[in-house]
Amino acid sequence: MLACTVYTLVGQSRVLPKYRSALVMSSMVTFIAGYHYFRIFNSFNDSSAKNAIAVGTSQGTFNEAYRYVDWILTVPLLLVEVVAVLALAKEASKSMMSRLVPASAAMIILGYPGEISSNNGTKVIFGILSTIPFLYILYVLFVELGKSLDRQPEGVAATIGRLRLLLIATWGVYPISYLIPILVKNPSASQMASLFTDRQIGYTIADVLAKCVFGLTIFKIARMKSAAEGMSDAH
Amino acid sequence: MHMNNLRMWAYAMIATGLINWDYQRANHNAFAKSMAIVIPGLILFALTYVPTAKSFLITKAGRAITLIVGVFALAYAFIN
Repeated sequence: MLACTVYTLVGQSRVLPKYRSALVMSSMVTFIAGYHYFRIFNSFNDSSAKNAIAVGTSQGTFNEAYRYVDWILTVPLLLVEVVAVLALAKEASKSMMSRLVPASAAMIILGYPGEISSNNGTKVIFGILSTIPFLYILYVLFVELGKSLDRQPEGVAATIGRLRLLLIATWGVYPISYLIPILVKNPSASQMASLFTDRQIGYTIADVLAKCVFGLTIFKIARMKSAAEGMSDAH
Repeated sequence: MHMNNLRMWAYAMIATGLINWDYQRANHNAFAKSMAIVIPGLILFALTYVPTAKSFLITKAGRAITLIVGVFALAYAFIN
């Protein structure tokens, strides 16, 4: 994550100034996520002993719901990155952001009660509730944003199309990880530990894909658009 | 463009400070330590909307100060 931060920061001179704000946002997203992982490792270390980990909400336990703090700070920015790199007209950008940012915040806030609940019914209900804003985000990205793709340079529209698919694929890992604990009925202690680990791995893979790979794709789009607008490849 | 970058810089400080606080909430002085990261971020963010401060922030000295404050705040987030 931190390497990705440096890469997108250093790479700013390789794109036109109007696309740099998207790269700065990407850098901030990966930096915040990188710092968050640094703290996750500390927390994991403090709460584990003798191959067991104490999970909960009190001091000295590993609280995976903290991930939601990271997500609420970074996920809206990921969507703003997409709008920023397209360099749409001011009004269109504003309208898009005013819908995507609250929807992404709602998606995360609605997932939180399900995450901290040990009741499977609650998990499912909040999982479904948080899927509603997610579907709305997809609608805005595929239908509303799709209209602006005709005006994008050759090749860029295809890359943006792939970016949207990447978003679905990577964001799709989150609900799978979220639902892992309810896939096994009445798990034993060792199964619980294994499910917990699986979920952490799932969230971590999703975070790397959704933040680093997404950011690098944004960088690629910015490079393609800069080249299409006359920036030399020597940069 | 430059103001946006400064706002992102401020946002990084605020976010990092909040995460720092979240993870160490029960530790002694965690709030004060985290606020040492959050408050400079909040001040910088507010200043980017004040016309007189804006003109200072785009000078060489203004940029150097924001960079140094930010680097110290973010480094502190890792070591405290």
